[in-house]
Amino acid sequence: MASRGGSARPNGSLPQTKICQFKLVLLGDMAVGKSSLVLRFVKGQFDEFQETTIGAAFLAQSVCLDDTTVKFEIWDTAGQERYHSLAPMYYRGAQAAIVVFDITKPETFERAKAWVKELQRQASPNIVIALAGNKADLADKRMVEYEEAQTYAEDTGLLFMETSAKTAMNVNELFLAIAKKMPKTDTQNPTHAARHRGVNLQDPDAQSTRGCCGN
Amino acid sequence: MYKSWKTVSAVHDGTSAVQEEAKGLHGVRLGTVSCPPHKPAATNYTADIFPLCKNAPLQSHIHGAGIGLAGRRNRVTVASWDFSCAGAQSRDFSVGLRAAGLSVALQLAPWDRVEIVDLQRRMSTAKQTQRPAHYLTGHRSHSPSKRGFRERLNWQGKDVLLFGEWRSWIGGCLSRAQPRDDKSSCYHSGNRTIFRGDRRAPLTDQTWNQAHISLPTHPLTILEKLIKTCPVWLQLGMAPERASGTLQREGPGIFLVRKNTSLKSMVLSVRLSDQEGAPQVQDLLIKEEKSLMYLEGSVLVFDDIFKLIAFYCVSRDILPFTLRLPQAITQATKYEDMDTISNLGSGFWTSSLNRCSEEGRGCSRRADPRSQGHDHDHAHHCSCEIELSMGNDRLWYVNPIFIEEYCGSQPQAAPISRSQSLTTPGQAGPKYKRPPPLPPRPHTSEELSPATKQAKDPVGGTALPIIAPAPPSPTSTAATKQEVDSNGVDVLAQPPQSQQGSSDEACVSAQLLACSTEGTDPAAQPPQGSSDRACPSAQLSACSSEETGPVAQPPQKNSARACPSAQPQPQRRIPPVPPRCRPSKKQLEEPAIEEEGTVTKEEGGQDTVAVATLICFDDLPEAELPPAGEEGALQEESIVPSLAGSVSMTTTTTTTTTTTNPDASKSPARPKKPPPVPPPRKKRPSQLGHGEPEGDPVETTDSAPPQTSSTPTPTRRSISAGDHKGADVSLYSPEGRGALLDHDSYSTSSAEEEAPAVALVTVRRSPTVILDRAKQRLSMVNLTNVFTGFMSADRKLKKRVVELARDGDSYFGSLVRDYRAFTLETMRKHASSTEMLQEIRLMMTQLKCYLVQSAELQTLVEPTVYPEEKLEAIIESALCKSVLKPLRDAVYSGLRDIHTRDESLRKLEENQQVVLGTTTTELGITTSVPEAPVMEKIQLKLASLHKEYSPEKKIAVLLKTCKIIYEAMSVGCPGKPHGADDFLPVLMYVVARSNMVALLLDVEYMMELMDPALQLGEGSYYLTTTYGALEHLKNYGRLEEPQQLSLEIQDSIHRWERRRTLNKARLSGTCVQDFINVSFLEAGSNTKTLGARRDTTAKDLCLQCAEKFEVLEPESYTLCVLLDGQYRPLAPSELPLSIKSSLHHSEPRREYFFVYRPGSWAMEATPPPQPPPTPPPDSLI
Repeated sequence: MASRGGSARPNGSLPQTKICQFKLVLLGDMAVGKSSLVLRFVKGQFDEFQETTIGAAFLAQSVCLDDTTVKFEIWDTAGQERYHSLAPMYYRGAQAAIVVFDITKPETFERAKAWVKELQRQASPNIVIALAGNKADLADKRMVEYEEAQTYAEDTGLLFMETSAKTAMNVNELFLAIAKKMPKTDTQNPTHAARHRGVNLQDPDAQSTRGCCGN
Repeated sequence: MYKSWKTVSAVHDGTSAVQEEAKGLHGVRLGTVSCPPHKPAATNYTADIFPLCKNAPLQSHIHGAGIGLAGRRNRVTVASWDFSCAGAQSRDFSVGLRAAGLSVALQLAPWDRVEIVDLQRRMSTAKQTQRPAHYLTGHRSHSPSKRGFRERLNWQGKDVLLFGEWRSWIGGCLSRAQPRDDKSSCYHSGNRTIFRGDRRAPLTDQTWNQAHISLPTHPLTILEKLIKTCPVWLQLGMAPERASGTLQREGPGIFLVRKNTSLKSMVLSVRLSDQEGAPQVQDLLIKEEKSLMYLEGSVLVFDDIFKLIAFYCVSRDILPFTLRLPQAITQATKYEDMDTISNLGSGFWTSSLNRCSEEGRGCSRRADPRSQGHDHDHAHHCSCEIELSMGNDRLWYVNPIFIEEYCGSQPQAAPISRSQSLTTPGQAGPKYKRPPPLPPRPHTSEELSPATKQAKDPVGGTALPIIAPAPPSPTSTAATKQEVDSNGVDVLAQPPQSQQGSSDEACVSAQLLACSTEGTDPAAQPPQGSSDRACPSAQLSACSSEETGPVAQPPQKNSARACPSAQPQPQRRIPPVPPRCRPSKKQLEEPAIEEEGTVTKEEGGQDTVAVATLICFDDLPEAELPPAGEEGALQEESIVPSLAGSVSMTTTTTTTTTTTNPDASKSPARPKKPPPVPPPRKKRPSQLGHGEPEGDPVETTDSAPPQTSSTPTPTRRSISAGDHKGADVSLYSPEGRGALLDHDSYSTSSAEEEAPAVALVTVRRSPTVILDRAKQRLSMVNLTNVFTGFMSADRKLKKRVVELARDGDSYFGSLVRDYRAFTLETMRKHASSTEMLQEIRLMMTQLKCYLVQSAELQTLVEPTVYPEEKLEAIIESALCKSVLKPLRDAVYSGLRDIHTRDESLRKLEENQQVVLGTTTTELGITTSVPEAPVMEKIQLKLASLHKEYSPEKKIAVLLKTCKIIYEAMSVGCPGKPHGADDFLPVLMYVVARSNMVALLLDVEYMMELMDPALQLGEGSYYLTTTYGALEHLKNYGRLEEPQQLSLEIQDSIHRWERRRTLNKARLSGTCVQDFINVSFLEAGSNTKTLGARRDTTAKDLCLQCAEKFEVLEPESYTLCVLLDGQYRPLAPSELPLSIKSSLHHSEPRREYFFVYRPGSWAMEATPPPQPPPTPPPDSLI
């Protein structure tokens, strides 16, 4: 586990920086550790940045990146195949996605690939996708080679890390990497601005002024 | 200024009333002894207690109940408290009390309403019903439960009373208290309210300390003791059987905290009283939410178990009574003792330590009623402890209402009172309370001060004199008054000792006087305390006096009032006093007092008078004359007025005193009774005083000049007197608040109802009166006022926007009205639910947009500058109320129609059956699912979700529901966080077992109508999830080709997101759709609401009309404006909206109609007569 990097520094340090809010969706087969991964991330952060939620299916967590506070709204999805059809509701409008698979179960990797494909086809064009090979602590049961996944990720333009929710390996790093890759200019992302009003971003009003009755 | 002050004072009164009540409670506790702890209020009390002290019994009862709050207001209130203890029986009584001012009590203690009724009943029973039928006017119904309370409030028509508001109100009170209490605070967490703070005021503390010097001091606070002795009561490993076995050997109120291993949560096991039969132990679940914990069913949350228990040791909230620590612990004063005890662990219960103390225990705490005498001692101790803890503790979680007041005075006192520290509590309460009052009173005092302050002593003297003069009566009177004043105290002490009480009372009264004097002089100072200390009863009285004093005092006022009645205004007041006394007695003792024929008459008047007296006290200054005009009360009042004039506070006191005197004069025999009554008054006054200062910040300021307030009051009073009865007066007193009421007004009515008879005397606001009935009213009013006042300017603004929306004369109002009509008309035409809802959402957005930019809002918004976002949020919620609320039913039926047409409902229902037949495994469930009881709870939640009209609130309920689901999932494996893999299947399971049709409509309603500006986050997630679950279920069987469904859903969600994204943008720069009402053929007939835009021309509109009115030959019709009896055809290019706007804003306002009738176009030549200044709306836009 690398150091936390500057990103995760104590909240106190956010000097009024920009605040970017992003929706991040978690995809992956059942029991690959999606929730654990996020929980590990969230719990490892400073409380101040944490928003309490009623359950672990939706979590919110902010991290500081230099002059920007990146707030993730993390949407978990049900990995069961039978609920696959509901996934689009969740990744619609997401600016980031983490596709998780279990390195001890090759089928989950296959499923992950399917998710990536679907995302690239149907989700927002600019979505940042990260591939996470979870359960890296179970190296002795590894069934998906690192290189294999790494190659796949490179080919498809994904962020890739092997993680372990259990040991926290690469967990923060993964989120930080995503945060760094996110467009920080809200301006450029009016949609986000509008959508996440809580965020300061630039004033959405400026943009809003124009359209009226647009419905 | 006076006026404002009055208003303020009125508010204060309300507050103070509450506070006083609290005091009363204290007093009750103190004096309570006489009543058996748990007897059904009505039954038990009745004769016994009443004779002694009407108020006292009730109070006692209350204590027994553990409520503690209400005490002082009305004896009735007390009764109400009892009720909770007593049980269902009391319900029957509920009606009457309210009228009598019970409402106040109710406010204080939601649970206890019923009891109040009982009291009345009792009173009437005991007294022959001096009270006119109007007592019975009250409302009936109500469950003692909080919920009932809430409903009741609603029932009364007070929005204010709603829980949320209630909370706010409380918060407001707290904030008021803050100036003095500095650290107190209150915040809301979810639907729970947390109160924290050290409410002690410097003055209070001092006073308190002084007062309690003689009392045994316990260096340890309850919290400390709890922490220290947790090995004794915190028995997480103890089996339920053993716990109940242990508790059964203990007295009521003794408790244990153990852990329910299956539920994985702590359980509070409380020993109930034996009266209910065999020893019983009640188990209450301690729920944990995040870092907070709370008793299941309660809205109060705490940081940890210690604080929770500490609070319930002091206030019962939802418990039948407060918790008690074993006597050995209660009495322990040293850490070493604690160590000894805690070393015993669970062995403590069977140890000799515990056994020894047990005996005392029964009496002291639980047996408030029974062990009056004993209790006193114990009570004192307890109270001391409590007080101390209060004083020392930093954190106090108080009951909303009660607590607050208590807090102001001494929240703990109440609890303490229970414990039996009647005196102490009273004192404590008073002290605390007093301090707050002081500030305000000073004004009063100032007014009166010369006389009053000095008089304080003098007053004391006077009071005494009064009392003394007619020792018998005085005593009785004094006692009565004192009782009243020191209600709890005297009562407590006296009730049982009523006789003694008389003497005691006399003493007390004297003390009171002294106290008042002291209080006055020292104000918060201990001097009184010392006096108080002198005798327990004396203490009590002292306390009361102190309280009064403090309250009153706030220096002058209190003293003035209290004393004034006695001294300061002795001259003036003296005469009045008697009447007042009577009144007060009447009120307080009405039943008892009636005994005296004269009194009775007076009582009749008194009831009124009593109120009046009370009022007088408050208003004395103000209302003095008016009251005086009336009956004997008048005299008193007149006197009082003068006195009152000196200080409203004084009035209160005076009232008390007066009451005492009257009683004494009237019925010397009843010395005892008097005390009970007085205490309340005193307390009230003090409270009032405090209340004024504290009650409403602003008011406080106003309160400062009590007289002023009173002065203003007079008017009100007079009016009230004229119009209403004493009750009115009381109302008036509240009136200051009445103004407030106006805003919220609901409370007023109740008050009025209750106190009509009283009106005469009531004219004044005498604190006392206020206390009693005023409390009711005040509480109501106050609440309202408070809300308006404290609550937040936001709320006020919202309210105003809602009013504006209702005002058909305002442009905005007409827009809203037309919009609603338009929506209703077009609703059926939409093919899809989304379209229909979006239309509505758009309208709302536009209305909001309009208002934000409109000049109409400028007049509403106060100096306070709101950030635009906040302003929009407020308007949004106001619009929900004025637009969505009335449309809700129509929207639902429209949605239902649409979905019936597209068969989704049928599909849903069919699949529901299919899904119900599947196993949990088939749904993918791997965790536990909600058991039947939880499902029931969930369904209830969903039902309440369905009833809401505000999308935001619906979402909040949805989140709560989801939370319940999460909790149910964790039953098997606590602590394990559940992600979507686990949650979604369980949600499916739950949805399939709910009213899916309603839920489907709700989800749509929420998704489409919610404020686009709303930060969604979590709400969005669960809304999406619920929507997904419903869609999934709708397509259950045939959906095995996943992608199929997903496309539809995706599309829908996608569109939804886009809308949300766009909506915001739309918000700021849009043109508002407006409407034009067009009549067909002639003005006012067959009028339709047509949508129009700024650029809609008359020609366009004509086309709409042709369609709307289904005219066969559109060419032969034209659009005209009927103005001043003249039809003026419009030119095709004219802009109807501009015309409407200019006409609408013309001065003077002209009546106009757009009429679609046969005719031909006006010559195009005539340029739009005057596309008058762009319609304001437009311009605004």
